[in-house]
Amino acid sequence: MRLTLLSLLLSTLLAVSATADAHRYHFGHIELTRNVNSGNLEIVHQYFTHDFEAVLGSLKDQRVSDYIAQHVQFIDDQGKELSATYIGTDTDVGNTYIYQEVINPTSKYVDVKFSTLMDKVEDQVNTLNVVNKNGDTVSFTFKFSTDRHRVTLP
Amino acid sequence: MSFRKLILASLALASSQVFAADSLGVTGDKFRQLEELLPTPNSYRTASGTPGHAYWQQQADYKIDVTLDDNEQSLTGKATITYINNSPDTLRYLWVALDQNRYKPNSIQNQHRTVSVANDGTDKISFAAYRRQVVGDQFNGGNLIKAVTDPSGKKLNHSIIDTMMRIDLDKPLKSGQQMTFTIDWKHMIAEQKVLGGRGGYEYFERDDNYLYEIAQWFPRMAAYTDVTGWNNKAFVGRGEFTLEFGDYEVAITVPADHIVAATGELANAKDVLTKDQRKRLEQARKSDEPIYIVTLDEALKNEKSRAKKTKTWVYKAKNVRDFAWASSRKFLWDAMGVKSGDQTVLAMSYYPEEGTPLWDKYSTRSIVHTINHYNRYSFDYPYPVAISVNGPVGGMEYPMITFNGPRPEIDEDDRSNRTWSRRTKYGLISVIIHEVGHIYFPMIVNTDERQWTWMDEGINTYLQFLAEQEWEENYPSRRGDARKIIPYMRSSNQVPIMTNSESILQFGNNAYGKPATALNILRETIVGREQFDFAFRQYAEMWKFKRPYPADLFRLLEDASGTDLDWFWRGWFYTTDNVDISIDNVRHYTIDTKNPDVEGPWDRDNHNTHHNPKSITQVQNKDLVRLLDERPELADFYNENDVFSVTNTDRNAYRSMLEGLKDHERELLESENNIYVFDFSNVGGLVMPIILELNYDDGSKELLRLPVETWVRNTENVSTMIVREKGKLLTSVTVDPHWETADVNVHNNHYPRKILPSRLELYKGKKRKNMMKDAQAELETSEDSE
Ligand SMILES: [Zn+2]
Repeated sequence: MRLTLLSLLLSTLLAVSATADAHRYHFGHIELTRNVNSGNLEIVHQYFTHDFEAVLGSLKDQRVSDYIAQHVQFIDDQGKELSATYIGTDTDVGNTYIYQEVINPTSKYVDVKFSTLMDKVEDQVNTLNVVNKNGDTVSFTFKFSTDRHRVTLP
Repeated sequence: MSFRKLILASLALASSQVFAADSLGVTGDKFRQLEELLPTPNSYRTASGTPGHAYWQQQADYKIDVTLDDNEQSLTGKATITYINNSPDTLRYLWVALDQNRYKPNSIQNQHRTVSVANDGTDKISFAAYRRQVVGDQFNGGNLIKAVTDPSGKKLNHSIIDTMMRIDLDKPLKSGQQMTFTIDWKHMIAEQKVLGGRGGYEYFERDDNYLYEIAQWFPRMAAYTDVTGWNNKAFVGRGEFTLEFGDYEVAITVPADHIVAATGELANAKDVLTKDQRKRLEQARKSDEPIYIVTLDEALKNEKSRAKKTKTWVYKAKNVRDFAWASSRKFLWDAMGVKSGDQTVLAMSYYPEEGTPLWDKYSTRSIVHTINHYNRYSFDYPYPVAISVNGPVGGMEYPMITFNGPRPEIDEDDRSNRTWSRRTKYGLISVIIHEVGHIYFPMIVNTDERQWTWMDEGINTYLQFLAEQEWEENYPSRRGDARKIIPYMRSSNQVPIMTNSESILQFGNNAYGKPATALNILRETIVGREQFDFAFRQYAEMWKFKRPYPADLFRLLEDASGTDLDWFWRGWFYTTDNVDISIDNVRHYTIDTKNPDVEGPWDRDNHNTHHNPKSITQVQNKDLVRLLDERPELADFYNENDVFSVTNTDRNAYRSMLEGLKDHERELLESENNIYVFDFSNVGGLVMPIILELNYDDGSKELLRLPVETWVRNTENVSTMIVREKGKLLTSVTVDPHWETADVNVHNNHYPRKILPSRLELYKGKKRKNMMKDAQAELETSEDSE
């Protein structure tokens, strides 16, 4: 069998060890909630700005939007990709938040691909939390080797 | 909120309370003491968390000669180690850590990494993983041990197991005895930017120079302790070091035009520094701002030189657990003095011109700031120097010396044009505070990093947060504040903090963020600043230059703060529960006075206003003319009195009841207080104090803190009561109004429930000001923008 080397967005390679500063958190997080008023699916990403800038360089909207579209996908129960609208990015010295929205999805579940930052950092661990109406949270862990999960929508 | 009357019942109620059938097994569990989880206290470690009367630790003194080869990037060294057996035990062999062996192609470190091939049919692996494996397989790393000999030159038997080397002793080393032996070795220095790691070299193409940050470079005695015996966990990458204290004398031979920074004090300044440089160093000691020892111009000149000769820099260090150094002809060097107890510490920075003008402005100042504030929370910095070096390593600590990465961006067309983002600036200050902070924890409070990352990273990150907040108002700290850890705490895929370093999932959150937040919550919310600071200082003082384990920390902080904290350690450190306290209901009561002339009208009023909306038939029949309207003679007693009317029988009964009461009971009965009963549920599992903001209809606010013991009988649902005077009417209640407990769900924190906008709605509602641009905007660095 042939192995595909995953092509990188930028060509520089990062050093890979976790030194004592853990300057890079290697932590990605998505929270999925259903807006009670609109019925829309709200997708809030959180990354550490340091990690994210290391991959994207400058965080221009178009770059972020393209990058997220490439690394985060939601396939509905009919096998079609849900269109997650990019709303915007909010960033400070510590955290970068990225907002997306899916208008009123009716699918019972979605197959989620969530590989943000994994092309750069092999020990990247992403977590997706589905927060249901009553506050109950179901967590899914995404790693390089398992960057897909089937998720029941809130 | 519902509004009802409260019946004051006699005391019989208290004794009729029903206890849960499983009170110890379940509801009592979260408050159960930790004794059964912690090791039994003994004469080495007390039940109060202090070193015991028979506490001991080994000592290892080193005399090392080492030569740096700048042509092939290698080190050749000879270390004479004197090992003092302070343990009560007889040792038949000694273990030595050869951490450079992680770079051997066949090391556990190089081979243990489970490769991540995507299992979705795409068969992909990352470039980074592949290149590192290829380069790792090619790099001829690891210690080449040439000889292990005793003082007479006799070879000692030794065998190497990954990063550990066992030296067999002809004669067992008895308690109180010491022995000396010598190890000759050589190793290639790794290129840090390719192979990673906590040391290594960086190559600068522009001027064809190398900058070396040298660490884990000599054979170090493995720790032998009362808790674990010999450490026999290999160095596989994350779990750092566990080492013994000792005295060092290290002679470092480098090209004559290099500047060497190292753990310890320079013992032969006359041989290696110019007269000018020595004079400047003396000035720096008394200066309250950084003074250059090597200026930019001098460093740029040095860059071009290529010395054929060598110089030997001799450094001496007392009572340190490790030794690291840095060397390059590129270094600028600045220094200033900082008072620490009775001594003046030299805070010094070494950086290539690529670090300017950020490093000259912030590095040494950040060291001084760290010492000023860590001293306040722990103990006076005890060493003569504290150093920050700029090189390839992102951030790493050693005794008296730290390696820190951030640099400005350089416009290659105009090298004088240098810019940096806000993140780079605060990243640099933060990483220096963090790494210099590590000189206290774990370089002095010598925790076992190979077992417990959180013991140094969590504690240091906590103090880093305090020091950062004293740098400037609203300093953008990344960790420490409770709200920052919420997404992690909410996730159910966590492992507890009490997880071995190598097995941690989500390293940064688990070993840095969560324990730092937990300590900050102890300080701000559970124990209070004054008592917690006292307890923490006790921990630092009692364990400096000694080796504490988690149980010692848990016991001591509890012992010195006078607060039972077992529930806190159990919940935050041994479980992955989160904080989610819900306020489910607020019930409003006033006292039933039992006086029929008061209660009758109250009941009628309450009945009409609260409980009894008119039926639709009543409404429709509003104008109906009834029989009784036409024939009033049909009315009698019952038409004039409703069920709420008061009779003399009621009044007589009331009088005789009053006579049966004690005076204080009678008084309570007549009080016109408002009584509120709050119903809480613990959704997240962690028991925590309940912090309430009460809002009254007169516009006033009150902050109320209910102790964690509120949950002691039932950790899932509790009701508590408050009594407020007549006229003090509650309008709303908020749980954890300042977000100090990392409560993961604020939607159930309000009564009456509030519809809170979602994060996304908040973002949309914000004026679309481009925060990103603000954060990205680069600082002007020309002279006149100061
Ligand atoms: Zn650290």
